[in-house]
Amino acid sequence: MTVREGKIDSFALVEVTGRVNSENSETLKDFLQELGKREQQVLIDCSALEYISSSGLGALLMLLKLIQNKGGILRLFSLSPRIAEVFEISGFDKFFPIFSSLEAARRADT
Amino acid sequence: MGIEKQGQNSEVQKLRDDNQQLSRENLRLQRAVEELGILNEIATAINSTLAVEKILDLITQRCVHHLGAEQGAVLLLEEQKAAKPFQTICRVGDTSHQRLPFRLDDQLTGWMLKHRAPLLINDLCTDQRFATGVGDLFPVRSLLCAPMVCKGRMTGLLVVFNKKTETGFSVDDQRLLAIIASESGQVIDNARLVEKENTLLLMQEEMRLAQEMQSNLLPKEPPRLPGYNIAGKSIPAKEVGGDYFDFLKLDGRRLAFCLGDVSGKGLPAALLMANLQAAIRGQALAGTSLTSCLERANSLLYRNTSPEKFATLFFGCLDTEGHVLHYCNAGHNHPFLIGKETEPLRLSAGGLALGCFESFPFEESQVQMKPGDQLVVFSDGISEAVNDRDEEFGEERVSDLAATNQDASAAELIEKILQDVGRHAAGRAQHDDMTLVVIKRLT
Repeated sequence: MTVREGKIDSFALVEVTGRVNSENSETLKDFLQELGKREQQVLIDCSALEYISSSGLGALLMLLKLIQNKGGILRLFSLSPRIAEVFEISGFDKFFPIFSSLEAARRADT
Repeated sequence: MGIEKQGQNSEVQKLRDDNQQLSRENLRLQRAVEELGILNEIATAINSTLAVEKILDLITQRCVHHLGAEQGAVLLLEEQKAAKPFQTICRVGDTSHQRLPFRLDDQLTGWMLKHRAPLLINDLCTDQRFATGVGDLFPVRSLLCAPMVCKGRMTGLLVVFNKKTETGFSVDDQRLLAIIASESGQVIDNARLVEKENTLLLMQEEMRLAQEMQSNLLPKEPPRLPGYNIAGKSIPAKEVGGDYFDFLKLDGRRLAFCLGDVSGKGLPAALLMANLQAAIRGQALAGTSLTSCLERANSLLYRNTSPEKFATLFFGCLDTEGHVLHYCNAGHNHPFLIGKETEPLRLSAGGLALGCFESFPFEESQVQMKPGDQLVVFSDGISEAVNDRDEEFGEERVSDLAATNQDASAAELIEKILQDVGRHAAGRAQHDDMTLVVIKRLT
Protein backbone atom coordinates (compact mmCIF):
# COMPACT_ATOMS: atom_id res chain seq x y z
CA MET A 1 0.00 0.00 0.00
CA THR A 2 1.15 3.52 -0.75
CA VAL A 3 -0.56 6.80 0.06
CA ARG A 4 0.25 10.02 -1.79
CA GLU A 5 -1.19 13.45 -1.20
CA GLY A 6 -1.50 16.31 -3.65
CA LYS A 7 -3.70 19.28 -4.31
CA ILE A 8 -6.27 20.08 -6.99
CA ASP A 9 -8.46 23.22 -6.89
CA SER A 10 -9.51 23.54 -3.27
CA PHE A 11 -9.36 19.78 -2.73
CA ALA A 12 -6.73 17.67 -1.05
CA LEU A 13 -6.16 14.84 -3.53
CA VAL A 14 -5.19 11.52 -1.96
CA GLU A 15 -4.17 8.45 -3.92
CA VAL A 16 -4.28 5.09 -2.14
CA THR A 17 -2.71 2.26 -4.12
CA GLY A 18 -2.12 -1.47 -3.71
CA ARG A 19 -3.58 -3.63 -1.00
CA VAL A 20 -4.95 -2.21 2.24
CA ASN A 21 -5.07 -5.11 4.69
CA SER A 22 -5.26 -5.48 8.45
CA GLU A 23 -1.46 -5.26 8.65
CA ASN A 24 -1.15 -1.78 7.11
CA SER A 25 -4.61 -0.30 7.73
CA GLU A 26 -3.39 1.34 10.94
CA THR A 27 -0.91 3.40 8.89
CA LEU A 28 -3.74 4.48 6.58
CA LYS A 29 -5.93 5.30 9.56
CA ASP A 30 -3.24 7.51 11.14
CA PHE A 31 -2.71 9.32 7.85
CA LEU A 32 -6.41 9.88 7.22
CA GLN A 33 -7.01 10.98 10.78
CA GLU A 34 -4.39 13.69 10.48
CA LEU A 35 -5.74 14.64 7.03
CA GLY A 36 -9.34 14.76 8.27
CA LYS A 37 -8.38 17.16 11.02
CA ARG A 38 -6.70 19.69 8.77
CA GLU A 39 -8.61 19.41 5.47
CA GLN A 40 -12.13 20.47 4.59
CA GLN A 41 -12.44 19.00 1.08
CA VAL A 42 -10.91 15.67 0.13
CA LEU A 43 -10.92 13.58 -3.06
CA ILE A 44 -9.65 10.00 -2.92
CA ASP A 45 -8.27 8.33 -6.04
CA CYS A 46 -9.02 4.59 -5.84
CA SER A 47 -7.95 3.71 -9.41
CA ALA A 48 -4.91 1.74 -8.25
CA LEU A 49 -6.48 0.36 -5.10
CA GLU A 50 -6.40 -3.42 -5.46
CA TYR A 51 -7.88 -4.59 -2.18
CA ILE A 52 -9.34 -3.06 0.95
CA SER A 53 -10.02 -5.01 4.15
CA SER A 54 -12.72 -4.23 6.67
CA SER A 55 -10.20 -2.36 8.81
CA GLY A 56 -9.30 -0.28 5.71
CA LEU A 57 -12.97 0.54 5.17
CA GLY A 58 -13.07 1.50 8.84
CA ALA A 59 -10.27 4.03 8.25
CA LEU A 60 -12.27 5.60 5.38
CA LEU A 61 -15.38 5.62 7.55
CA MET A 62 -13.51 7.50 10.25
CA LEU A 63 -12.34 10.08 7.68
CA LEU A 64 -15.89 10.48 6.38
CA LYS A 65 -17.17 11.18 9.89
CA LEU A 66 -14.38 13.69 10.58
CA ILE A 67 -15.11 15.55 7.33
CA GLN A 68 -18.90 15.42 7.61
CA ASN A 69 -18.83 16.65 11.20
CA LYS A 70 -17.39 19.94 10.00
CA GLY A 71 -19.59 20.14 6.91
CA GLY A 72 -16.78 19.29 4.51
CA ILE A 73 -16.64 17.18 1.36
CA LEU A 74 -15.24 13.68 0.86
CA ARG A 75 -15.52 11.98 -2.53
CA LEU A 76 -14.09 8.75 -3.86
CA PHE A 77 -13.47 8.14 -7.53
CA SER A 78 -12.32 5.53 -10.07
CA LEU A 79 -13.12 2.43 -8.01
CA SER A 80 -12.26 -0.84 -9.74
CA PRO A 81 -15.18 -3.29 -10.06
CA ARG A 82 -13.70 -5.37 -7.21
CA ILE A 83 -13.49 -2.40 -4.84
CA ALA A 84 -16.93 -1.14 -5.91
CA GLU A 85 -18.28 -4.57 -4.97
CA VAL A 86 -16.73 -4.36 -1.50
CA PHE A 87 -18.41 -0.97 -1.01
CA GLU A 88 -21.70 -2.33 -2.25
CA ILE A 89 -21.70 -5.44 -0.05
CA SER A 90 -20.93 -3.51 3.13
CA GLY A 91 -23.49 -0.85 2.21
CA PHE A 92 -20.74 1.79 2.25
CA ASP A 93 -21.77 2.88 -1.28
CA LYS A 94 -24.96 4.27 0.27
CA PHE A 95 -23.18 7.01 2.20
CA PHE A 96 -19.82 7.46 0.47
CA PRO A 97 -20.19 9.76 -2.56
CA ILE A 98 -18.57 7.69 -5.33
CA PHE A 99 -17.68 9.06 -8.79
CA SER A 100 -16.47 7.48 -12.00
CA SER A 101 -13.52 9.82 -12.57
CA LEU A 102 -11.48 12.65 -11.08
CA GLU A 103 -13.25 15.08 -13.41
CA ALA A 104 -16.69 13.91 -12.26
CA ALA A 105 -15.67 14.18 -8.62
CA ARG A 106 -14.23 17.68 -9.09
CA ARG A 107 -17.24 19.02 -10.94
CA ALA A 108 -19.92 17.29 -8.85
CA ASP A 109 -21.35 20.50 -7.45
CA THR A 110 -20.97 22.78 -10.46
CA MET B 1 75.24 8.00 77.41
CA GLY B 2 73.84 10.73 75.21
CA ILE B 3 74.32 8.55 72.18
CA GLU B 4 72.74 5.61 73.95
CA LYS B 5 69.71 7.71 74.87
CA GLN B 6 69.55 8.98 71.39
CA GLY B 7 69.69 5.41 70.20
CA GLN B 8 66.94 4.46 72.59
CA ASN B 9 64.86 7.42 71.43
CA SER B 10 65.13 6.41 67.81
CA GLU B 11 64.31 2.86 68.79
CA VAL B 12 61.20 4.10 70.60
CA GLN B 13 60.34 6.29 67.66
CA LYS B 14 60.68 3.36 65.29
CA LEU B 15 58.56 1.22 67.55
CA ARG B 16 56.01 3.98 67.69
CA ASP B 17 56.06 4.29 63.91
CA ASP B 18 55.76 0.56 63.49
CA ASN B 19 52.94 0.57 65.96
CA GLN B 20 51.14 3.32 64.12
CA GLN B 21 51.68 1.57 60.85
CA LEU B 22 50.36 -1.62 62.37
CA SER B 23 47.36 0.25 63.72
CA ARG B 24 46.74 1.73 60.29
CA GLU B 25 47.19 -1.62 58.65
CA ASN B 26 44.95 -3.12 61.26
CA LEU B 27 42.33 -0.46 60.61
CA ARG B 28 42.65 -0.99 56.90
CA LEU B 29 42.26 -4.74 57.30
CA GLN B 30 39.38 -4.18 59.68
CA ARG B 31 37.72 -1.94 57.06
CA ALA B 32 38.41 -4.47 54.36
CA VAL B 33 36.85 -7.18 56.51
CA GLU B 34 33.88 -4.89 57.15
CA GLU B 35 33.56 -4.12 53.44
CA LEU B 36 33.77 -7.78 52.57
CA GLY B 37 31.19 -8.44 55.25
CA ILE B 38 28.86 -5.85 53.71
CA LEU B 39 29.41 -7.19 50.20
CA ASN B 40 28.87 -10.71 51.42
CA GLU B 41 25.73 -9.66 53.26
CA ILE B 42 24.35 -8.02 50.12
CA ALA B 43 25.31 -10.99 47.96
CA THR B 44 23.65 -13.46 50.36
CA ALA B 45 20.52 -11.33 50.59
CA ILE B 46 20.33 -10.91 46.81
CA ASN B 47 20.65 -14.64 46.27
CA SER B 48 17.58 -15.22 48.38
CA THR B 49 15.27 -13.32 46.04
CA LEU B 50 14.72 -12.63 42.36
CA ALA B 51 12.27 -9.76 42.67
CA VAL B 52 13.81 -6.56 41.30
CA GLU B 53 12.03 -4.34 43.84
CA LYS B 54 13.31 -6.43 46.74
CA ILE B 55 16.88 -6.51 45.45
CA LEU B 56 16.91 -2.76 44.93
CA ASP B 57 15.44 -2.15 48.36
CA LEU B 58 18.03 -4.40 49.93
CA ILE B 59 21.00 -2.79 48.22
CA THR B 60 19.80 0.70 49.05
CA GLN B 61 19.09 -0.19 52.67
CA ARG B 62 22.52 -1.71 53.22
CA CYS B 63 24.27 1.24 51.59
CA VAL B 64 22.37 3.80 53.68
CA HIS B 65 23.18 1.85 56.83
CA HIS B 66 26.85 1.08 56.24
CA LEU B 67 27.79 4.42 54.77
CA GLY B 68 26.01 6.33 57.52
CA ALA B 69 23.81 8.26 55.10
CA GLU B 70 20.40 9.72 55.71
CA GLN B 71 18.94 8.44 52.47
CA GLY B 72 19.68 6.40 49.42
CA ALA B 73 18.12 5.62 46.07
CA VAL B 74 18.52 3.47 42.99
CA LEU B 75 17.74 4.98 39.61
CA LEU B 76 17.40 2.65 36.65
CA LEU B 77 18.18 3.76 33.15
CA GLU B 78 15.29 3.40 30.72
CA GLU B 79 16.92 3.34 27.32
CA GLN B 80 13.76 4.12 25.35
CA LYS B 81 13.12 7.34 27.21
CA ALA B 82 15.61 9.85 25.87
CA ALA B 83 14.01 12.86 27.57
CA LYS B 84 13.89 11.40 31.08
CA PRO B 85 16.29 8.48 30.90
CA PHE B 86 16.35 7.69 34.61
CA GLN B 87 13.52 6.30 36.60
CA THR B 88 13.75 6.28 40.39
CA ILE B 89 12.84 2.75 41.28
CA CYS B 90 13.67 2.59 44.93
CA ARG B 91 14.11 5.04 47.77
CA VAL B 92 15.11 4.28 51.32
CA GLY B 93 15.40 6.77 54.15
CA ASP B 94 17.07 6.63 57.52
CA THR B 95 16.01 10.04 58.68
CA SER B 96 13.28 12.04 60.35
CA HIS B 97 12.66 13.90 57.09
CA GLN B 98 9.21 13.08 55.88
CA ARG B 99 9.97 13.63 52.23
CA LEU B 100 12.33 11.56 50.18
CA PRO B 101 13.96 12.91 47.05
CA PHE B 102 12.09 11.24 44.23
CA ARG B 103 14.14 12.40 41.36
CA LEU B 104 17.60 13.71 40.85
CA ASP B 105 18.29 16.91 39.08
CA ASP B 106 18.92 16.54 35.33
CA GLN B 107 22.33 18.16 35.77
CA LEU B 108 23.47 15.38 38.02
CA THR B 109 22.07 12.51 35.97
CA GLY B 110 23.51 14.19 32.90
CA TRP B 111 26.93 14.41 34.55
CA MET B 112 26.77 10.71 35.46
CA LEU B 113 25.70 9.70 31.95
CA LYS B 114 28.62 11.63 30.52
CA HIS B 115 31.38 10.66 32.97
CA ARG B 116 30.23 7.21 34.09
CA ALA B 117 32.36 7.57 37.20
CA PRO B 118 31.65 7.82 40.92
CA LEU B 119 30.80 11.31 42.15
CA LEU B 120 31.55 12.52 45.68
CA ILE B 121 30.28 15.91 46.86
CA ASN B 122 30.45 16.97 50.49
CA ASP B 123 29.44 20.59 50.09
CA LEU B 124 26.78 20.76 47.46
CA CYS B 125 25.86 24.45 47.96
CA THR B 126 29.31 25.57 46.84
CA ASP B 127 29.72 23.05 44.00
CA GLN B 128 29.72 25.01 40.77
CA ARG B 129 28.74 22.01 38.64
CA PHE B 130 25.36 21.64 40.26
CA ALA B 131 24.42 25.23 41.00
CA THR B 132 20.68 24.72 40.89
CA GLY B 133 20.66 22.13 43.66
CA VAL B 134 20.21 18.44 43.26
CA GLY B 135 17.43 17.27 45.51
CA ASP B 136 13.78 17.74 44.91
CA LEU B 137 11.88 19.00 47.99
CA PHE B 138 14.66 17.65 50.19
CA PRO B 139 17.74 19.48 51.47
CA VAL B 140 20.80 17.72 50.13
CA ARG B 141 24.13 18.70 51.71
CA SER B 142 26.35 15.90 50.58
CA LEU B 143 26.00 13.04 48.17
CA LEU B 144 27.83 10.04 46.83
CA CYS B 145 26.82 8.51 43.55
CA ALA B 146 28.15 5.54 41.56
CA PRO B 147 27.18 4.12 38.17
CA MET B 148 25.78 0.61 37.88
CA VAL B 149 27.22 -1.15 34.87
CA CYS B 150 26.36 -4.39 33.13
CA LYS B 151 28.34 -5.76 30.17
CA GLY B 152 29.93 -2.38 29.60
CA ARG B 153 26.54 -0.67 29.52
CA MET B 154 25.40 1.77 32.17
CA THR B 155 22.16 0.48 33.62
CA GLY B 156 21.53 2.83 36.52
CA LEU B 157 22.78 4.85 39.44
CA LEU B 158 23.22 4.06 43.11
CA VAL B 159 23.21 7.19 45.23
CA VAL B 160 23.30 8.04 48.95
CA PHE B 161 22.62 11.47 50.43
CA ASN B 162 23.73 13.40 53.53
CA LYS B 163 26.45 11.67 55.52
CA LYS B 164 25.35 11.75 59.15
CA THR B 165 28.83 12.64 60.51
CA GLU B 166 30.44 16.08 60.08
CA THR B 167 33.35 14.64 58.11
CA GLY B 168 31.21 13.91 55.05
CA PHE B 169 31.62 10.97 52.70
CA SER B 170 35.18 9.63 52.48
CA VAL B 171 37.19 8.20 49.63
CA ASP B 172 36.74 4.79 51.27
CA ASP B 173 32.97 5.29 51.18
CA GLN B 174 33.24 6.12 47.50
CA ARG B 175 35.26 3.01 46.81
CA LEU B 176 32.80 0.81 48.66
CA LEU B 177 29.75 2.31 46.92
CA ALA B 178 31.47 1.94 43.54
CA ILE B 179 32.14 -1.76 44.22
CA ILE B 180 28.56 -2.36 45.35
CA ALA B 181 27.16 -0.48 42.32
CA SER B 182 29.29 -2.32 39.82
CA GLU B 183 28.45 -5.70 41.38
CA SER B 184 24.75 -4.81 41.46
CA GLY B 185 24.52 -3.98 37.76
CA GLN B 186 24.58 -7.58 36.55
CA VAL B 187 22.32 -8.83 39.35
CA ILE B 188 19.66 -6.20 38.68
CA ASP B 189 19.84 -6.78 34.95
CA ASN B 190 19.26 -10.50 35.46
CA ALA B 191 16.35 -9.85 37.78
CA ARG B 192 14.80 -7.41 35.30
CA LEU B 193 15.08 -10.02 32.53
CA VAL B 194 13.41 -12.62 34.73
CA GLU B 195 10.59 -10.17 35.50
CA LYS B 196 10.15 -9.34 31.81
CA GLU B 197 9.94 -13.01 31.00
CA ASN B 198 7.38 -13.55 33.76
CA THR B 199 5.27 -10.66 32.43
CA LEU B 200 5.40 -12.20 28.96
CA LEU B 201 4.38 -15.59 30.32
CA LEU B 202 1.50 -13.96 32.18
CA MET B 203 0.36 -12.21 29.01
CA GLN B 204 0.50 -15.46 27.10
CA GLU B 205 -1.54 -17.14 29.80
CA GLU B 206 -4.12 -14.33 29.70
CA MET B 207 -4.30 -14.66 25.92
CA ARG B 208 -4.86 -18.38 26.28
CA LEU B 209 -7.68 -17.70 28.75
CA ALA B 210 -9.20 -15.14 26.35
CA GLN B 211 -9.02 -17.73 23.59
CA GLU B 212 -10.70 -20.31 25.79
CA MET B 213 -13.41 -17.82 26.77
CA GLN B 214 -14.04 -16.89 23.17
CA SER B 215 -14.29 -20.47 22.01
CA ASN B 216 -16.76 -21.01 24.86
CA LEU B 217 -18.91 -18.23 23.39
CA LEU B 218 -19.28 -20.19 20.15
CA PRO B 219 -21.81 -23.03 19.94
CA LYS B 220 -20.18 -26.31 20.94
CA GLU B 221 -22.64 -28.50 19.09
CA PRO B 222 -24.70 -27.60 16.04
CA PRO B 223 -28.45 -27.62 16.67
CA ARG B 224 -30.40 -30.71 15.60
CA LEU B 225 -33.60 -30.01 13.74
CA PRO B 226 -35.68 -32.58 11.91
CA GLY B 227 -35.03 -32.55 8.16
CA TYR B 228 -31.98 -30.32 8.42
CA ASN B 229 -28.26 -30.77 8.78
CA ILE B 230 -26.42 -27.81 10.30
CA ALA B 231 -22.79 -26.94 11.12
CA GLY B 232 -20.61 -23.94 11.93
CA LYS B 233 -16.89 -23.32 12.44
CA SER B 234 -14.65 -20.34 13.13
CA ILE B 235 -10.86 -20.18 12.92
CA PRO B 236 -9.34 -16.92 14.19
CA ALA B 237 -6.20 -15.59 12.45
CA LYS B 238 -4.67 -14.72 15.82
CA GLU B 239 -5.35 -16.31 19.21
CA VAL B 240 -8.70 -14.56 19.33
CA GLY B 241 -10.69 -12.97 16.55
CA GLY B 242 -13.54 -10.73 15.50
CA ASP B 243 -15.62 -13.34 13.65
CA TYR B 244 -18.39 -15.26 15.31
CA PHE B 245 -21.38 -17.41 14.58
CA ASP B 246 -24.29 -18.40 16.75
CA PHE B 247 -27.33 -20.68 16.78
CA LEU B 248 -30.35 -19.92 18.93
CA LYS B 249 -33.32 -22.24 19.11
CA LEU B 250 -36.27 -19.92 19.61
CA ASP B 251 -38.80 -22.70 19.99
CA GLY B 252 -39.39 -26.23 18.73
CA ARG B 253 -39.46 -25.20 15.08
CA ARG B 254 -37.62 -21.91 14.71
CA LEU B 255 -33.87 -21.46 14.68
CA ALA B 256 -32.22 -18.04 14.75
CA PHE B 257 -28.62 -18.00 13.56
CA CYS B 258 -26.02 -15.45 12.61
CA LEU B 259 -22.50 -14.98 11.32
CA GLY B 260 -20.74 -11.72 12.12
CA ASP B 261 -17.41 -10.09 11.36
CA VAL B 262 -16.12 -7.21 13.46
CA SER B 263 -13.63 -4.95 11.62
CA GLY B 264 -10.02 -5.50 12.66
CA LYS B 265 -8.79 -8.57 14.49
CA GLY B 266 -7.16 -9.74 17.69
CA LEU B 267 -8.22 -8.74 21.18
CA PRO B 268 -10.00 -5.42 20.36
CA ALA B 269 -12.12 -7.15 17.72
CA ALA B 270 -12.79 -10.06 20.07
CA LEU B 271 -14.10 -7.76 22.80
CA LEU B 272 -16.41 -5.99 20.37
CA MET B 273 -17.53 -9.34 19.02
CA ALA B 274 -18.52 -10.55 22.50
CA ASN B 275 -20.45 -7.31 22.98
CA LEU B 276 -22.29 -7.72 19.67
CA GLN B 277 -23.09 -11.35 20.37
CA ALA B 278 -24.58 -10.47 23.78
CA ALA B 279 -26.71 -7.74 22.19
CA ILE B 280 -28.02 -10.03 19.44
CA ARG B 281 -28.66 -12.95 21.78
CA GLY B 282 -30.56 -10.83 24.28
CA GLN B 283 -32.75 -9.31 21.58
CA ALA B 284 -33.37 -12.52 19.64
CA LEU B 285 -34.37 -14.53 22.70
CA ALA B 286 -36.73 -11.73 23.76
CA GLY B 287 -38.60 -12.30 20.51
CA THR B 288 -37.64 -9.04 18.82
CA SER B 289 -37.99 -8.99 15.01
CA LEU B 290 -34.87 -9.40 12.89
CA THR B 291 -34.85 -5.80 11.74
CA SER B 292 -35.46 -4.28 15.21
CA CYS B 293 -32.76 -6.57 16.53
CA LEU B 294 -30.24 -5.21 14.05
CA GLU B 295 -31.39 -1.61 14.47
CA ARG B 296 -30.76 -1.84 18.21
CA ALA B 297 -27.44 -3.64 17.78
CA ASN B 298 -26.47 -0.95 15.27
CA SER B 299 -27.12 1.95 17.58
CA LEU B 300 -25.46 0.12 20.48
CA LEU B 301 -22.34 -0.50 18.42
CA TYR B 302 -22.38 3.05 17.06
CA ARG B 303 -22.49 4.57 20.56
CA ASN B 304 -19.93 2.26 22.16
CA THR B 305 -17.13 2.12 19.63
CA SER B 306 -14.56 4.38 18.00
CA PRO B 307 -15.59 5.85 14.60
CA GLU B 308 -13.63 3.37 12.48
CA LYS B 309 -15.15 0.26 14.05
CA PHE B 310 -18.07 -1.55 12.51
CA ALA B 311 -19.37 -5.07 12.10
CA THR B 312 -21.02 -6.92 9.26
CA LEU B 313 -23.62 -9.50 10.22
CA PHE B 314 -25.85 -11.96 8.47
CA PHE B 315 -28.82 -12.69 10.67
CA GLY B 316 -31.36 -15.38 9.76
CA CYS B 317 -34.33 -17.13 11.23
CA LEU B 318 -35.33 -20.49 9.81
CA ASP B 319 -38.84 -21.85 10.22
CA THR B 320 -38.33 -25.57 9.85
CA GLU B 321 -42.02 -26.33 9.37
CA GLY B 322 -42.84 -23.92 6.57
CA HIS B 323 -39.18 -24.10 5.40
CA VAL B 324 -39.01 -20.34 5.14
CA LEU B 325 -35.78 -18.53 5.81
CA HIS B 326 -36.24 -14.95 7.01
CA TYR B 327 -33.06 -12.95 6.91
CA CYS B 328 -31.53 -9.53 7.23
CA ASN B 329 -28.03 -8.89 5.93
CA ALA B 330 -26.16 -6.02 7.59
CA GLY B 331 -23.38 -5.39 5.08
CA HIS B 332 -22.05 -8.95 5.16
CA ASN B 333 -20.74 -10.94 2.19
CA HIS B 334 -23.86 -12.22 0.47
CA PRO B 335 -24.41 -15.86 1.46
CA PHE B 336 -25.21 -18.46 -1.20
CA LEU B 337 -28.42 -20.45 -1.34
CA ILE B 338 -27.54 -23.32 -3.63
CA GLY B 339 -30.30 -25.49 -5.03
CA LYS B 340 -30.00 -28.83 -6.82
CA GLU B 341 -31.15 -27.52 -10.15
CA THR B 342 -31.32 -23.78 -9.74
CA GLU B 343 -28.71 -21.07 -10.06
CA PRO B 344 -27.17 -20.03 -6.72
CA LEU B 345 -29.12 -17.24 -5.05
CA ARG B 346 -27.32 -14.43 -3.17
CA LEU B 347 -28.94 -13.21 0.04
CA SER B 348 -28.22 -9.49 0.01
CA ALA B 349 -31.28 -7.72 1.43
CA GLY B 350 -30.84 -5.96 4.75
CA GLY B 351 -28.85 -2.80 5.18
CA LEU B 352 -25.63 -1.21 6.17
CA ALA B 353 -22.85 -2.72 8.28
CA LEU B 354 -23.54 -2.20 12.00
CA GLY B 355 -22.01 0.70 13.93
CA CYS B 356 -21.40 3.07 11.00
CA PHE B 357 -24.23 5.53 11.60
CA GLU B 358 -26.49 6.01 14.58
CA SER B 359 -29.80 5.09 13.04
CA PHE B 360 -30.34 3.22 9.86
CA PRO B 361 -33.42 1.31 8.70
CA PHE B 362 -32.97 -2.39 7.93
CA GLU B 363 -35.19 -4.47 5.69
CA GLU B 364 -36.04 -8.12 6.05
CA SER B 365 -36.43 -10.57 3.23
CA GLN B 366 -37.35 -14.23 2.95
CA VAL B 367 -36.64 -17.25 0.77
CA GLN B 368 -38.01 -20.74 0.59
CA MET B 369 -35.66 -23.62 1.36
CA LYS B 370 -36.43 -26.61 -0.86
CA PRO B 371 -35.24 -30.19 -0.26
CA GLY B 372 -31.54 -30.40 -1.10
CA ASP B 373 -30.98 -26.64 -0.77
CA GLN B 374 -27.79 -25.56 0.93
CA LEU B 375 -27.26 -22.22 2.64
CA VAL B 376 -23.58 -21.26 2.86
CA VAL B 377 -22.72 -18.23 5.01
CA PHE B 378 -19.05 -17.26 5.11
CA SER B 379 -16.79 -14.44 6.30
CA ASP B 380 -14.37 -12.52 4.05
CA GLY B 381 -11.45 -14.40 5.58
CA ILE B 382 -12.57 -17.30 3.33
CA SER B 383 -13.23 -15.47 0.06
CA GLU B 384 -10.31 -13.05 0.44
CA ALA B 385 -7.65 -15.56 1.45
CA VAL B 386 -4.76 -14.84 -0.93
CA ASN B 387 -2.04 -16.97 -2.46
CA ASP B 388 1.58 -16.04 -3.24
CA ARG B 389 0.47 -13.94 -6.21
CA ASP B 390 -2.08 -12.02 -4.11
CA GLU B 391 -4.93 -13.80 -5.89
CA GLU B 392 -8.04 -14.15 -3.77
CA PHE B 393 -9.78 -17.47 -3.19
CA GLY B 394 -12.98 -15.83 -4.40
CA GLU B 395 -16.66 -16.26 -3.61
CA GLU B 396 -17.40 -18.39 -6.68
CA ARG B 397 -15.17 -21.19 -5.44
CA VAL B 398 -17.23 -21.32 -2.23
CA SER B 399 -20.37 -21.71 -4.30
CA ASP B 400 -18.74 -24.23 -6.67
CA LEU B 401 -17.58 -26.41 -3.79
CA ALA B 402 -21.08 -26.45 -2.35
CA ALA B 403 -22.56 -27.34 -5.76
CA THR B 404 -20.12 -30.20 -6.35
CA ASN B 405 -20.44 -31.61 -2.84
CA GLN B 406 -24.19 -31.87 -2.54
CA ASP B 407 -23.99 -35.22 -0.80
CA ALA B 408 -21.54 -34.10 1.86
CA SER B 409 -22.85 -33.25 5.31
CA ALA B 410 -22.79 -29.61 6.44
CA ALA B 411 -19.72 -30.28 8.60
CA GLU B 412 -17.97 -32.12 5.73
CA LEU B 413 -18.63 -29.24 3.34
CA ILE B 414 -17.12 -26.79 5.82
CA GLU B 415 -13.99 -28.95 6.08
CA LYS B 416 -13.76 -29.23 2.28
CA ILE B 417 -13.96 -25.45 1.88
CA LEU B 418 -11.38 -24.86 4.61
CA GLN B 419 -9.03 -27.42 3.06
CA ASP B 420 -9.38 -25.81 -0.35
CA VAL B 421 -8.72 -22.35 1.11
CA GLY B 422 -5.70 -23.84 2.89
CA ARG B 423 -4.36 -25.26 -0.39
CA HIS B 424 -4.97 -21.96 -2.18
CA ALA B 425 -3.17 -19.89 0.46
CA ALA B 426 -0.43 -22.47 1.02
CA GLY B 427 2.68 -20.89 2.41
CA ARG B 428 0.98 -17.69 3.46
CA ALA B 429 -0.08 -16.87 6.99
CA GLN B 430 -3.82 -16.74 7.58
CA HIS B 431 -4.50 -13.02 7.35
CA ASP B 432 -8.08 -12.86 8.58
CA ASP B 433 -10.49 -14.85 10.71
CA MET B 434 -12.33 -17.55 8.74
CA THR B 435 -15.87 -18.53 9.61
CA LEU B 436 -18.51 -20.68 7.94
CA VAL B 437 -22.09 -21.71 8.69
CA VAL B 438 -23.79 -24.29 6.49
CA ILE B 439 -27.47 -25.24 6.69
CA LYS B 440 -28.73 -28.06 4.45
CA ARG B 441 -32.34 -29.05 4.01
CA LEU B 442 -32.40 -32.82 3.70
CA THR B 443 -36.00 -33.72 3.02
